[in-house]
Amino acid sequence: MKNIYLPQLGKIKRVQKETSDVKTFTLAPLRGAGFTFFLKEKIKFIPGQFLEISVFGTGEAPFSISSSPTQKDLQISIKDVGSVTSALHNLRKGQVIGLRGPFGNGFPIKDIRGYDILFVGGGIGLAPLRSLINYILDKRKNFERIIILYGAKNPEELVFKDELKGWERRKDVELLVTVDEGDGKWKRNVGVVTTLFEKIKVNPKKAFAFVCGPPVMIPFVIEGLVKIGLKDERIFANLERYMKCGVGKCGHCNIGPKYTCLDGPVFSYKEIKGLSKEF
Amino acid sequence: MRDWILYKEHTFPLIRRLNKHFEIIAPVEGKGGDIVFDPITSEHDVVLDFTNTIMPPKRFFFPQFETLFSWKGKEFTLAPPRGAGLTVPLKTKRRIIFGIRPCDFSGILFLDGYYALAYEDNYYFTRRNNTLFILLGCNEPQEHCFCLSAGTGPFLKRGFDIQLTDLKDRYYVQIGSRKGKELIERYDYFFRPASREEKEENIQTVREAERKFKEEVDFDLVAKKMENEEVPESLWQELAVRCQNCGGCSYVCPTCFCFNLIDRVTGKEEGKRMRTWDSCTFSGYTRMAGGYNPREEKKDRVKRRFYHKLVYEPQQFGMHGCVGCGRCVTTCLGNINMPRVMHEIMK
Amino acid sequence: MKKILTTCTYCGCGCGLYLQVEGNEVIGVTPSREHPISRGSLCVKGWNIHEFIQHPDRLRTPLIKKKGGFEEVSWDEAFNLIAEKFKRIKKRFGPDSLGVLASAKCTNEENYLLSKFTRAVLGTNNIDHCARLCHSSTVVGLATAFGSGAMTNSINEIEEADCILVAGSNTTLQHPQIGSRILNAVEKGASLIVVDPRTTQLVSFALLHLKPRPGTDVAWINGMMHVILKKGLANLDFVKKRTENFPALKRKLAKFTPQYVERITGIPKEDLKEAAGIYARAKRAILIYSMGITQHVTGTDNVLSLANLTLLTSHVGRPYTGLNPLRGQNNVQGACDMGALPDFYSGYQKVSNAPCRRKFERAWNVKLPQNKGLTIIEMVREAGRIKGMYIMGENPALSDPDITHTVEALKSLDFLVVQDIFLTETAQLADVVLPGASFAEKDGSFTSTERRVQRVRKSINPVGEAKADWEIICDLSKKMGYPLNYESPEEVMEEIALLTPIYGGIYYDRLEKTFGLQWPCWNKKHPGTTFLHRGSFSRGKGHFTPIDYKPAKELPSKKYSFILTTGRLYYHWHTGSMTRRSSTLHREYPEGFIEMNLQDAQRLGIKNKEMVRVISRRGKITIQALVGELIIPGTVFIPFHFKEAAANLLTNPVLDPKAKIPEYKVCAVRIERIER
Ligand SMILES: Cc1cc2nc3c(=O)[nH]c(=O)nc-3n(C[C@H](O)[C@H](O)[C@H](O)COP(=O)(O)OP(=O)(O)OC[C@H]3O[C@@H](n4cnc5c(N)ncnc54)[C@H](O)[C@@H]3O)c2cc1C
Ligand code: SF4
Ligand code: SF4
Ligand code: SF4
Ligand code: FES
Repeated sequence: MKNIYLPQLGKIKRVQKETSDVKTFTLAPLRGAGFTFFLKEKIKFIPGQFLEISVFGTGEAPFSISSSPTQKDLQISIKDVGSVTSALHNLRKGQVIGLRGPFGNGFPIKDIRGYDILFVGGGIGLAPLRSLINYILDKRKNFERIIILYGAKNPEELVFKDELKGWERRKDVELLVTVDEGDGKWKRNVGVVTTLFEKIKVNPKKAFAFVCGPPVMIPFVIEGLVKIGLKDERIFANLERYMKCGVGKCGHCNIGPKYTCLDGPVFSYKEIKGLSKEF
Repeated sequence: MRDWILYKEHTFPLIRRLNKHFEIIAPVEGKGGDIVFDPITSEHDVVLDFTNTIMPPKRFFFPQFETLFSWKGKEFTLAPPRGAGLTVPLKTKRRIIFGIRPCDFSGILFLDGYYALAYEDNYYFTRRNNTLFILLGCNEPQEHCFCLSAGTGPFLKRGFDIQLTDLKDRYYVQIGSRKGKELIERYDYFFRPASREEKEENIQTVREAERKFKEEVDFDLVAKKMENEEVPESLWQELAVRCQNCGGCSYVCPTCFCFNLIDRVTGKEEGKRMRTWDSCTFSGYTRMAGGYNPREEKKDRVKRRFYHKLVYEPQQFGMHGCVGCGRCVTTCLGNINMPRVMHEIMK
Repeated sequence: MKKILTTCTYCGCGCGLYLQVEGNEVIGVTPSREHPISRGSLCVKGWNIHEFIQHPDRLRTPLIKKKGGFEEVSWDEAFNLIAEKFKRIKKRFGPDSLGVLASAKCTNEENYLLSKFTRAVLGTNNIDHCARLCHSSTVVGLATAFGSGAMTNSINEIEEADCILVAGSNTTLQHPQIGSRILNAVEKGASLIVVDPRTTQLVSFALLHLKPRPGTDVAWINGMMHVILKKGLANLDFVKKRTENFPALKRKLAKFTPQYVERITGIPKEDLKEAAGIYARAKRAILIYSMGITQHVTGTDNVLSLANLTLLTSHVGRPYTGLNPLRGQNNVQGACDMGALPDFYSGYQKVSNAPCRRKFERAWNVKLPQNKGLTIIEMVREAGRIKGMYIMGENPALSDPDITHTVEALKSLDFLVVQDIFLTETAQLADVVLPGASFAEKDGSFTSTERRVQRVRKSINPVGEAKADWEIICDLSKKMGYPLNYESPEEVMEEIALLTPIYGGIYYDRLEKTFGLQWPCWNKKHPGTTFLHRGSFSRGKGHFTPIDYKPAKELPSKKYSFILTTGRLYYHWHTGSMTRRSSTLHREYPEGFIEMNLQDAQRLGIKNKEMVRVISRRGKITIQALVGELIIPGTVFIPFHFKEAAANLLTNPVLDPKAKIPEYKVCAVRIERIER
């Protein structure tokens, strides 16, 4: 029987600073005596899936893969909020971590071909969306419009700044960015991410929406999307829960009869509507 | 399959014989007179006349505190590894659980189902698969038992390896699995085939036991009312003010499976990852980094515990999350417990 | 795997539990169902007790501080150094320059031995322990009123009461089993009255909740007695037959009219009258109190007042009826019983009483000091005079009031020895650190809050080179030239029984077959005592002490406008050295907080979960605000478990003049919003 709790070993190939408290880590397989690594074959995953990352001695935590399976590098982007995340932030290139996964269902990439895709992200919530965005951009002709609405607390806290610039330059991507509090130099929208809804026109019949951000943001965004006219089954949200095992055993991530780590983390609004009180 | 008879005077010799080849875990008397499941050193330790144990034998498959793996070596703090690595301490012995009650064994069947969903929990199954269960049905249900309503006792129809029914001077022995059959065949000189009268006597004993239940609840009715949101929030609020967040109801429950994973540093370059029992009654169980907690209020946690057992688990894989053992009645410091809550809902 | 029956090492309830042992590792817990207190249940701390026992942070070898850092050394080296230093200090400055702190976490036998070591070997009565900080006012107060300072009843009697008055005790959280008994009593129809400035869990079940301003307890108690007398609800027959000094009390009560009391305490006069009526009329009335009453500059006064109240209504000396101080630590009762106090030998036999002293001198075969020793706070205050200290299993560097001062005092000692299981804040200041054994690693006995003496059993070997604390004391004593030769704690208990009348019948063979015996247990046939003062009081007649209301020492001022009160949380134990190493417990409350009323918070512009600065005349801390309505305006609460935001940097070390208990429950603070 496979040991579902035993991590594989990996190392940090590159660390990139995104904001004062977010870093993107590029991970690489680790070869050594006595180990078998699934990383030998490149990790196969779907955008939206996550990895359980161990910093031995501190603990393990789940992180969405922020790179696209169409890209060479395997990346996670992490905000420093607690013990594991800050231990990760203290790691340097070449240091060893543990990985389990990929786990979770991922985005429904098969069902969305030929549609307009609307992304709504908040803060570090752009990480899993970035995986799907880059996946779609690498298969651009299979999709229609791509609209990205992204918000952060202030201009400094916007993640993937270089990539945002790249998307902005592309003619085939509609990107709108907002911040809760601007600074002197900020010329764009100020306000929560839902204020961007007024600035775009979406044909609800032709669109899928993907939402990821802090727990307080999600219900408001969904409400906005429903108002625009999107059907419940075309709205998807990445839910975050306190997770330990990632494989449907420890119970922590349970929302009603669903397990975020198995049935999610990507849920359609239709699935979670009844559980609204809990998410 | 054919049923057998084991005379009570042959029970200890049988256990002695089995103990040579198996680790035997059976009800034994602790220092304070409590009956607890523990490995026996001699067959004379075994107590067969007991009201059910304080805790189910769940911990022999899913220990309260367990090392999943340990690590050693410099590589875990710096640089790529050379030689050292992760070790898994999981060892198993061939085991027999002797004298487990049907409700507790139903708890094991429940965990079998749960721990196999999507991914198999190898720690649980390595131990589980090495174990043979000899059940002892209940002629005398206790005050708080409601396994009859839960469909998990006082005797089981299937699922067990071997089930014993107390017929005063002898045990009526039923076989429910290949493992059980092989064991009886290996030690067939302890047993003789049951007669037609004994078969009838067994049926009577079961019927009689079923008539003795004082506690009766309607799982379907309760689940329906809960699903239809017919339960007033005030009930959960009333329960919540009584809850003292001890976690006991989860710890003693044969079907509770939640755990936490923690790391312990044991030396300069070594440590271990452990798992420890957890309970959904704790606020830290769902609190996320940054302080956001989807079940911050105690009311939501108490409510969710009962929804999980009575509504979600049946939806998820067709079994109640309660086997009617009555342990939470004894252990709760706030007198919250499954039968009480069910009666409140049935009202 | 095997299960070993023992007694919980956290609180004074004294639950019986089995430790699940595999190899030499404790991997779980099972509550005892037969045990009269645990009855098949435990609180969250008991359920997770296995987590700290073999924690990697446990001390494993003796340590000596050399050039600022600790070095691992052999037991011999450590003992030699201690013996040499103590001898030198004793010679140069006299025996009273040495001080000892015993431990309410250690066993009876260990506390007895440490008391013997202090008096017979070091030659001083300077021994005390944390009971000073929680219930010394009880010991002094109840000794005056009744002659014996312990719970008059047993825990299970609470279930049968028809009125329960709980004053200054957050019972469900601090004494979970007792809290559970109160709940049961209420389910059976008992009336519950809670007196507490905070809205505790018990309040949900209470008929009445009185919220006095912290530090005004004498006033409401006197007020209740005033009402009782006026309504003719006092039992004057009882007063006449079994008490003394009533007229003096009566005179004192005259001015405590409900109006007057309302002005002082903030308790509406109607509520006070109602509470007095319910309590006085009850047939079986249990009065429960804890640190909310004792930890004041007027701690002894508060206790005396409660005793007056029970005497006036004859609510004492009967089954299901009495006055019950809840002792916090698992063995704080035992440590007091064993004479880990500056003025008593075991069993409250006075050091100053010549026949007592002669008895111990004969038994221990040595001349004993006569003058009363110093208390815990005095030892630290007099650090100039105290040159060397021996601290067993206590952490004054976090638990004493005004710890800045305490830490300075400990640092200024010539020589400090700390015996503990973790490198606590205090141990870090020591010159020598000795690794003791946890409760799972040794034999012995604990005495619970209901005076129940019960066994602690060794389940595993001590971690590393750690040793049972009783062995450490014996070994050290030998090095200092006074051999203490005991084969086992059982032998120590035999000596205790011989010299201590209230423990006269307590022997291990009797504890083996039962879940303990409740003292007084006079001889081997005596069954123990469930409730005290039947027929007559320990001192003969119950004594009324008229008490006047005196305000707390530090009242809110313009600059420091809030009253700070401190206490514990359910999930943590004192300075957190055990509980913060249990993942489940630590996760519930990973950090400290200050609880404050919504009105106050709004006025100061403070939001829930925001960080604030709390400042007193002695220190300041930064801590998260918990805003709500569970606490009255003007009062704030901080738990003292967290070293990062140590409440005791703020508290006021003023002492009750009689019991020398510090005023943890009242000091004035200012709260500042931290600008973002
Ligand atoms: C499917 C999934 C995908 C995720 N993807 C990402 C991602 O791509 N990038 C990313 O950055 N994060 C992601 N997260 C979140 C990430 O898992 C958490 O940030 C991480 O688990 C935090 O772990 P930690 O050990 O650092 O925090 P911990 O040390 O565990 O700190 C959090 C805990 O400490 C306590 N705590 C901490 N702060 C407070 C406070 N202020 N008040 C009260 N209690 C507090 C709480 O008990 C909390 O549970 C994802 C989560 C999930 C479930
Ligand atoms: S919920 Fe209570 S009665 Fe039901 S199985 Fe669990 S412990 Fe037993
Ligand atoms: S046993 Fe009772 S008090 Fe303890 S957590 Fe469960 S419901 Fe709450
Ligand atoms: S801390 Fe107190 S109530 Fe909790 S288990 Fe221990 S003795 Fe019992
Ligand atoms: S994270 Fe453990 S069950 Fe989902």
